[in-house]
Amino acid sequence: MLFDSLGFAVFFPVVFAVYWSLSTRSYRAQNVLLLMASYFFYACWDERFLLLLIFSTLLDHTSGLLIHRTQAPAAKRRWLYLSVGVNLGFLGVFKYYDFFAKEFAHLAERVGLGVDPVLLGLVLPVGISFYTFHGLSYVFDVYRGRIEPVRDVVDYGLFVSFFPLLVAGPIERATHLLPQIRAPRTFRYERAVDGLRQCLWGFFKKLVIADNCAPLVEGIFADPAAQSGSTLLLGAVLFAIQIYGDFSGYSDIALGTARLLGFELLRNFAFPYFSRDIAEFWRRWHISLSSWFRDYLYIPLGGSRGGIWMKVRNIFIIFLVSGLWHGANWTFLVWGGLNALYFLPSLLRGKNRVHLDTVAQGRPVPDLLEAGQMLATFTLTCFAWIFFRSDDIPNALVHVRGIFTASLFSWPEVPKVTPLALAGLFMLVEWFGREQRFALERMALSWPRWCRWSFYLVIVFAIGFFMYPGEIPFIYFQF
Amino acid sequence: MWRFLRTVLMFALLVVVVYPILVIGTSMAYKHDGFGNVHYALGYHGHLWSRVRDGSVRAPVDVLVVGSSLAYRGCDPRLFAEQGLHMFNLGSSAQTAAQGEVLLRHQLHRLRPRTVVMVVSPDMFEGPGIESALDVMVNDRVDLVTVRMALLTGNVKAWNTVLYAWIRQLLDLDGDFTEPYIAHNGDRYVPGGFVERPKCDHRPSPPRVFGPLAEHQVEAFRRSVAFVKASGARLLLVHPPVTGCCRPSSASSDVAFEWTNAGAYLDMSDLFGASDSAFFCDGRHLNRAGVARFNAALIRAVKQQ
Repeated sequence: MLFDSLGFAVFFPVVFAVYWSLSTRSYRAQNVLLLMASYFFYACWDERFLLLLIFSTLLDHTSGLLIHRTQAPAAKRRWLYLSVGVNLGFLGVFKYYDFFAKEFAHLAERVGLGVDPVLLGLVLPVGISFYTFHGLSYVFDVYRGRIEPVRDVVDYGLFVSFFPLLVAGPIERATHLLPQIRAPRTFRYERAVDGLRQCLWGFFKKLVIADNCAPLVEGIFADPAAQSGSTLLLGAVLFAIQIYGDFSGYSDIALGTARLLGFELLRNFAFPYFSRDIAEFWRRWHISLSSWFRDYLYIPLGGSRGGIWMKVRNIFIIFLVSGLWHGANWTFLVWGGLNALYFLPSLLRGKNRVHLDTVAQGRPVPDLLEAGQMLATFTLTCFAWIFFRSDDIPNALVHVRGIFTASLFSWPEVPKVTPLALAGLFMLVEWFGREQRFALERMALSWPRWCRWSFYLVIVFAIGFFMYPGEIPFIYFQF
Repeated sequence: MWRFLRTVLMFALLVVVVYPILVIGTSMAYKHDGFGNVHYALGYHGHLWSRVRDGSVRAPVDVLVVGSSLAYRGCDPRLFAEQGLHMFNLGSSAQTAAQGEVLLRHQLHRLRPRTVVMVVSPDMFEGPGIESALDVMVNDRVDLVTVRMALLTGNVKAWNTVLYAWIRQLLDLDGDFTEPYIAHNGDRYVPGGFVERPKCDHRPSPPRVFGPLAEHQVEAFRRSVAFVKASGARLLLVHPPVTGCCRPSSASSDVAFEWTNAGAYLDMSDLFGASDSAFFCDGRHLNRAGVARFNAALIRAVKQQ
C-alpha cells in the first residue's frame, strides 16, 4: 500500500478513528491495533515477506532479552553476534548475494577460471534495509546497556513495524520511539493539525515535484549519449530535485501520519540543498541513516580520533557502506566514495562542524559567500547523483563526459517546461521555510484563517492539477 | 478531537466547492491545450465528435459495430449498404471495454440495432484506457455512465477532464465547433462512422506483447454483453484480421475465455494468412483491399446469424 494510493486514503482514516476511540481504554489496546494495522499495511505488498518481518522481530526481541539476562560477557557477545549475523544474513541473501556472485564470476573469468554463478533472483522484500537497521540499533543499545530490553513483544513489534516508517524510514532508535510506544498518548489539536500540514506538503513534494521530474530524468538518463551537455546537466539537477522531493516527501508524510497518531518520529531532512559544505549536507540529508552509521559504525571504529589515516579509513568505510546500503551496484559504491572524498578535506582541516546553524538565518537572502558555498555544495552533490542514478558506471561516465562538451552552452532539450517552473517555485517555498522543521510548519500561521486556508487550497489544487497522472513508486522503496 | 474533526470536515467541504472552480477557471484561462491535468481536445483523432453526431444514421440500424480503430478503420458502412444492410460504426480511438460500454449505453436504445458486432482484440482489456476515456468524455456527452468510467480509470487527468467537459457541455460552450471531415493526417470521415486512410503503404509492426487483464475492463465487457443481450439485439464478437505481430494466440487464455463465453465468436485474425503487405497498412489496420475482403466475410457471417 502506497501513501499516495486510494487504498491508504481509506486505510488511514479507519485506523485513525478506531485508534483514538480506544484511547479511553488503554494505550496497550492502541498498540495492538497499530501492530495489526502495520502488518496489514505490509502484507498489502506481499504477505510472504510478512513472515520474514515477524521472524526478524521475534529474533531481535529474544536476543535483547537474552543479552540482558546473561551475565557473562562472552555469552552476551554470542547472542549479539547471532542477532546481527542472522539479520545481516537475510539482508545479504536478498540484497547482495546475486551481485557478489556475479562479480566473483567476472573476476574468476579474468584470471582464466570459468565459473558459472548460481543466482537466486530473489525479490527484495520491501523495507528490509530499514527494519533490519531498526532491529540492529535495538540489539546494540541493549548490549551496550543504553536501554533496558522490552519484555512486551507487542511493544517491540510496533517499534519495528510501525507503518508510517516501516518501508522507507526514518530509521528510528529504540531510545527515542520505545518510550513513546510505552506511554499513553493524548490527542492534541495543534499536533494533529501540524501533522496534516506536513502530510499536505509531503504529498505536494512527491506527487507534483518528484513525479513530474521523474519522466524527464528517465528520458535523459536512459540514453545519455544522445543528449546535449546542457540537457545532461539539467538531468543531474532534476534528479537531485526528484530524489529530494520523493524521499523527503515520503518522510514528511510518515512524520505527519505518525503525528496524527500522537507520535514524534526522528527528523529525516533539514533542507539539505541549502548547505554550505558537504559536512553540513550530511547533517541535513537522510539524517536518521547518517546518524545511525555515525553511532553504530563510525564511532565504534574510532570516529575522528586517531591519526590521519585512521580518519581517512573510517570516513571511507562509512560512506562506502552507506553507498552499498542503497543497493548492490558499483554506481552506489562510487557515489559513496565520491562523498567520502568531498567530506575528507573539511574533516582533516577540522572544519567539518563550522556550519551548524541555518544559512542566512533571519535574512531573506544569503550573502554572496553563502550563495557561492551553496552553489558549490549543490554542484558536487549533483555530480555524485549522476553515479547514483545511472544504470552502470560506463553510462555514468558517458553522462559526465557529455556534460563537458561545447553543447553545454546550448539550450537544453526538455519536452515540458511546467515541471521546471514547479520545481523552481518549490525550491523558493523551501527556502523561505528553511528555519522550520518543514516548509509549511509556520508559514501562513499568522495569517487570518480565510487567507491561510486559501493558501492550503492552492496547494490542494496544485496537487490535483499538476500531479503526474501515472503511478511512480517511491525511490527508496527499492532500497 | 471534535474540534479537529470539525476543522477537517469544513476544509474538505471547501475543497469540494473550490477545487472544481479552480480546475475549470484555470483550464479556460489556458485554452485547455493540455496544460496541467486536463486534456480537452475536441475532435481529437478517430472522429468521435462527428460520429456521435452523424445525421446520416437512421434508427433502426441493421448492424452496430463497436471497437477500437480496428473497428472504425475496418468496417465500412458503404460495403454493408451494397449488401442491403444499414450499418453504423461506433468505434473510437484505442477503445477499451470500458469506453465500449459507455458508447453502447449512449447509443444502443437510440439506434435499436438488430445485430451488434463487437470488434475485439486483447488490448481492449489492458490497463485503464486513459486515451480513449478522454476521447469519449470530451467528444460524446457526459452523464453518470461517463463519470463512472472516468472514476474507474483511477487517473486524475480523467477526473479533471470529465469535470471540465461536463461544465462545458452544461453551458454549451462548444456548440459552434465543427470537426473537419479530413484530419491533418489525411484520414477522411465517411458518414456512417468509417474512417478511410486514402493512402497507406504497408509498414510492418513489431511483435506486440499484451498486458494482463484489468479487472474493471473485464467487468465492463461483461456488463456490455449483458446490456446488448437484454436489448434483444443479436451479438457477434469478431476478432478482425491482423498480421502475425498481433494475433490473439499471443494473448493470455483468459482473454479468449471472455470472448468465447460471451456469445457467438468469430476469429478472423488469420483471414489473410501471411499476405500482410497486400491487405494491411501496418500490423493491425487494413487497407482498402483488406477492408473489402474482411467486410465481405463479416457480412456473410451477419446474414447467416
